[in-house]
Amino acid sequence: MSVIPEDSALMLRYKDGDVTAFETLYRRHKDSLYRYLLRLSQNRDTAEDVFQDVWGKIIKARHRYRPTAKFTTFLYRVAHNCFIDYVRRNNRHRVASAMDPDCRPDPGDEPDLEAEKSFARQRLDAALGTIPDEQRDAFLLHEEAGLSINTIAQVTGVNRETVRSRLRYATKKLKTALAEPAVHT
Amino acid sequence: MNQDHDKHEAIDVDPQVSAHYQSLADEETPADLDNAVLREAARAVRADSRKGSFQAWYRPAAVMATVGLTLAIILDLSDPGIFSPAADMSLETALPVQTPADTTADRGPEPAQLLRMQPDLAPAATQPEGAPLEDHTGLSDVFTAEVEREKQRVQEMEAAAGTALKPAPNAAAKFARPRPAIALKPLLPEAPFACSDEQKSDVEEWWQCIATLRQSGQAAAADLELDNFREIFPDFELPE
Repeated sequence: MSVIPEDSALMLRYKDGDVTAFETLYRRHKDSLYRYLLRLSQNRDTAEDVFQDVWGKIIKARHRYRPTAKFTTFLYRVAHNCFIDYVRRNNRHRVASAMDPDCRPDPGDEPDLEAEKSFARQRLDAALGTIPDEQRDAFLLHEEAGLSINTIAQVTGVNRETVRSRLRYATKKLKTALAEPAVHT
Repeated sequence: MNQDHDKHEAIDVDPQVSAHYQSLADEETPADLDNAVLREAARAVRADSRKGSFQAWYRPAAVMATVGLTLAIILDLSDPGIFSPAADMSLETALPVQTPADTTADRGPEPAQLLRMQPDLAPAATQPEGAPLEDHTGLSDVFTAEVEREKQRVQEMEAAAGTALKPAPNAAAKFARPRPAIALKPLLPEAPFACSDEQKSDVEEWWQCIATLRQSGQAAAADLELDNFREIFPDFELPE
């Protein structure tokens, strides 16, 4: 049975010059980070810019990296800060549809099912677009990064009660929005 | 996807909403973005290795250069010759202070005189063999004369300006410092380097001189004298 190396160990190996360790680490986290940024920004170009910026910062910070906290916490704190910086730098990022078809998996042999899924995804994104940025951020950190309330509080720099409140409101609004009858265009 | 949730936390997320989200969120990172990030990571490591190899020789070289320079400065400063009175004196002697009142005749020693005043430049080889090295440079006389001239000039200036100027005591003391006569130790006090003409005039004395040369370890000189001796006195019976 092979032992799966921890994220911190991979980062330390990369710090020592092991590029394959970074590749493993990157492939482990890239998709969830990408989706987090895609839904947080609601814009594919912004998500890609911030995504590249985040990994660039991780690469640059390798010499200073200390495994004092989980790598996931470190990664999403960097991502959260990068997104805030991006929004400030660009005054307000351009919100557009995150539903670009070129970043979807291959629909395969079931186009009807995929069309239904695409429609449901549009509704989800629309519902996510209606909730405030802070609530969306907390919800996505929970769903995509799998962070606990305490960790989300660390990443976003607020106390845990605020995080609980944001999660509660976000879930309530999403549930209401998704429960509304679907209207096919 | 990371499922890193703290199981002890009471997460306020509706499980149905969470499940709905998880079933729909399946976007993947574009391949060009993957390539760009991985390329950047590899480039950073390559840059590290280049930087490391540069530092491998740069740092020791810098340390060695620093240590070498420091030692050179310390040794240079601790050289007693820089602060020795002899060096100080030679500098003052070589560069006499010029004053507006100086005349052509009162400019100090001429260059030839300066050369004689330098003790290191005095040719020791010109001294007679075996004779003690006397102070033939006349250095003390020159210094005394210099001090006298200096005193006279100061007195003239005092008389002219009416002020009580005094000569520099240190300079006078240096000039008036007695210089001990240096005696050369004779190289061969007991044996002459070669036999004199007076010795060569008498066969017994010449032969004695050759024997003395040989006893004092000057075998080559003794052989040379012996050859000459045999040419002049071929009939002389050499003792064993």
